[in-house]
Amino acid sequence: MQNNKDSKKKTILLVEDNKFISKVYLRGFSDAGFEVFHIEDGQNAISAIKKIKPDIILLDLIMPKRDGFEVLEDIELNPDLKKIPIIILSNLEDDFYKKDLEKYKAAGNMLKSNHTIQEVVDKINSILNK
Amino acid sequence: MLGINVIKKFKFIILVLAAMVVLVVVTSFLAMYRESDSLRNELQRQGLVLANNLAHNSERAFITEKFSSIMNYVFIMSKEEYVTYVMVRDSDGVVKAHSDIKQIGKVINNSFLKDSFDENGSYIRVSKFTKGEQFDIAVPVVSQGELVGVAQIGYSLEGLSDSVATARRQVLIIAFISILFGIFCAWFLWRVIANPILNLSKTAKAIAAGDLKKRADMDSKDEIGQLAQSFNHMTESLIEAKDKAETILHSIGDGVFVIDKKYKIVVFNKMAEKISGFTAKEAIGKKYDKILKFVFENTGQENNEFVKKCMNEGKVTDMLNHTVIIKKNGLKKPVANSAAPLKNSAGKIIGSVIVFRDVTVTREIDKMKNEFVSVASHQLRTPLTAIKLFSEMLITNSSENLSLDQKEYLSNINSCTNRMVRLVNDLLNVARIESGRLKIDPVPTDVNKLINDILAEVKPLAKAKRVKITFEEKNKLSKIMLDHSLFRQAIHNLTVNAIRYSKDEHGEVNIVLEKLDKKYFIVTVSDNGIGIPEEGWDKVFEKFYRANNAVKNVTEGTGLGLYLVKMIIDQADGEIWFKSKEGEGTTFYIKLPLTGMKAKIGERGLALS
Repeated sequence: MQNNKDSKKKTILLVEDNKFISKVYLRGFSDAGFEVFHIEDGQNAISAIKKIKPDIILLDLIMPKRDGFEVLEDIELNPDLKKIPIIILSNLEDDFYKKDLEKYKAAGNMLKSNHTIQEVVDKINSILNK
Repeated sequence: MLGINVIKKFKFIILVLAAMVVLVVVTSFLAMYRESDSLRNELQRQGLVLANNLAHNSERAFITEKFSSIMNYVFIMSKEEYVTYVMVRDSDGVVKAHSDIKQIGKVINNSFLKDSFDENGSYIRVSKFTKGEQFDIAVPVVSQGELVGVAQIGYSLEGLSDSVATARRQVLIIAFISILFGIFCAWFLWRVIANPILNLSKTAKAIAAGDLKKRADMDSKDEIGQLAQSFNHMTESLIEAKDKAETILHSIGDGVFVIDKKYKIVVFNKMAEKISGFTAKEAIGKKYDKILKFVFENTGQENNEFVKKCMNEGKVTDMLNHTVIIKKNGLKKPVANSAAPLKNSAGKIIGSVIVFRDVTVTREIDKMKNEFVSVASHQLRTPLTAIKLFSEMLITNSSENLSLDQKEYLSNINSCTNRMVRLVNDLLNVARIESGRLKIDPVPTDVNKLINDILAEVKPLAKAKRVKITFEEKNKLSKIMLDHSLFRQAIHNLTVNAIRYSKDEHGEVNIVLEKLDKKYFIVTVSDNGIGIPEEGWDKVFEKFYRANNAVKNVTEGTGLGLYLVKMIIDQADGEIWFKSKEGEGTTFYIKLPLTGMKAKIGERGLALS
C-alpha cells in the first residue's frame, strides 16, 4: 500500500522504552515475518514515522522524555500520518487513557503483561487484514 | 384540654350560682305577694269594722229621721286614716249623710244597693279614686228587722301599696346583694382556682411549643401553687436535659442535621454549619435539598437517593465515596454521608438523621492510594512482562536445545510469572472494588452467548487439564442488563477454579443457566474436583484464603478469585453460595435478579485477569 519497499513484509514501528521488552518483541515480531523498527522514546517518533512510513505503530504510553499521549497529539497535528493504525501497547490500565483512545481513534489497545507475543501478532494481523 | 375542662366546670359553677340568685329573688317575690294578700284582708277587715260602726250609729238617725245628728260622726270618721269618704243612704238611694256635704240629697243608683247585700249583710268592691284604689264597703242599716238604708265608706288601699313598695324595695335589695355575692363567688373561684390552672396550662402549652423561657405563676401558697412550683422545676430539668443534648449535638465532630417527614430541616448542628457554610437559622424550616446540595463528584448531578431510600425503606443508607457538598460560597467539599431513619414508637418513619463528614483528607489519601496502586501495578507489570515474554520465547523457540529439567524449570518460571501477573490484576481489582470507586455499566446481554465466550477463553486451560466442560441453558432467558467485565470476571473465576481444582482423571465441569422464578436467574458451576474441606467453608470468600488441599494441588492460586466473585455479586444485589464435599466436588450458585445489575457511576472498571 503506502509501503513499496517490500511488498511481502509489513513494517512495524515499535515505540517502547524498556530495552528487555523491546528485545523480545523485536525478535518475536521478526520471527512472525514483520520488518520491525524500534525507537526508545516518543521524542523522535514523528520524524521516524515520516521516514519509515510503517504499516502499523505499536505505542507504549509511559516513556521518559516524550510519552505516548504526546506522540498521539503530534500525530493528530499531522493529518497524513493519521491513516496509520496504532495499537497502544502499555502496562497502564486503560481507564487512564480511555478518552485518548476514543479521541485519537486508536485501532486497539493491549495490556502487555496479559498477552503472549503470539496474541499481539494475531491482533496486528487482524488489524492489517481489515 | 385542661383549660377547656376548667372553663366548662367554671361555667357550671356560675350557672349554679345564677340559679341560686334567681331562686332567692323568686322566693322573695312570692313571700312579698303572700304578705300583700294578708295585708289586703286586714285593710278590708278594718274598713268593715268602721262601716259596721257607721251602720250601727245610723240606725237611730233613720228612726228619728234626724240625719244631722250623725253628720258629726261622719266627719270624724272621714278623718280616720285611709278613709276616703263616708256616706249613709236610705233604701231609695237618697244620700242622707256624706263626708262631702255637696253629695247630700243626691240619689245614687240603687241597683248597687240591691246587689250590696250578701249573706253577711255587707258588700265590698274595689274601685278607683283620685289617689288610687279603694274598697267600697257597704253595710245595711237594719231597724227593727227592716232594711232602712246603707252605711258605706271608702277605704283606701294606699296602705297596701305603701307596704308592697317597701317589700319590693327589700326584695330588690336582696336580689342585688345576691347577685353581688354570686359575682364575688365567681370572681373568687376564678381567681383562686381556675385562673392559676389555666395559667399553668397556658405555660405548659408555650413550653411544649418550644418557649422554654416561660414559667408558671407561683403566687398562691396552696396545692396549685405547689403544682406550679413543681412544674417550673420540671421545666428547669427539661432545659438542663435539652442543653446537655444540644451541647452533645453541637460538639459532635461530624455535621448532623435532622429532617422531618416532609424533608424539612428541624435540627442543624455547629459542624453542619461549619462544613456547609449555612447557619442553623438559614437552614431550619427549609427543605434540606433546597439548602444543602449533595452532588456526585464527577458528574455534578444531585445525589439525594440515599436520603430518599432511607425515608422510604427505613434503612440506614450511606454514601461513602464520590459525593461532594456545595457550600454556601459555591465551593465544593468532599463528604461522606449517612442517613438513618427516625421512627416513632409505632415504628413509623417520621424523619431522618443525616450525618456528613468532611473527607477532604481521606478522599485525597484515597486518590493517592488509587494512583499508587495503578502506578505500582504498571511498574510491577513491566519487569513481569519481560520475564513472561522471555520465558515464553525460550519455551517455544529453544526447546530442542534444552534438557527435560531445564524445560520444566522454564515452564515453572513462566507459570509463576503468569501467576504474578494475575495477582497484580486481582489486587488492582480488589483495590478498586474496596474503594467503592468501581463503576457498573450494564448493557442488554445475551447471557448464553457471554458464557460461551468465557468458556472459549478457558478452553486451552481445560484442554491442558483434560477437563470436559458442558454448558446447558435450561430455559431461554431474554436479554439481561449486565456489566460484561464484572459478570465475565465472576463466571471466569468460578470456571477457572473448577478446572484448576479438578482431579487428574475424568475431570468434568458443568455450567447450567436457568431462570429460577419471575425475579431471579441462577448460574450453577459444578465440578467433580477435590472439593472444599469443611473447616474452610466459612472462609472460602475471605481475601487470600486458600484451603489446604487447594494449596497442595494447585500452587498458582492468588486467594483473591472467590473474594472478587463475592464482591462483584454483592455489588450486583445478587447472592452466591456453594455446596461441597471434600474429594467429590463443589457446586457454586450465583443468583442474580432478572432486572440485572444497577448502573453505578464510578471511575474504574475491572482489570482483565
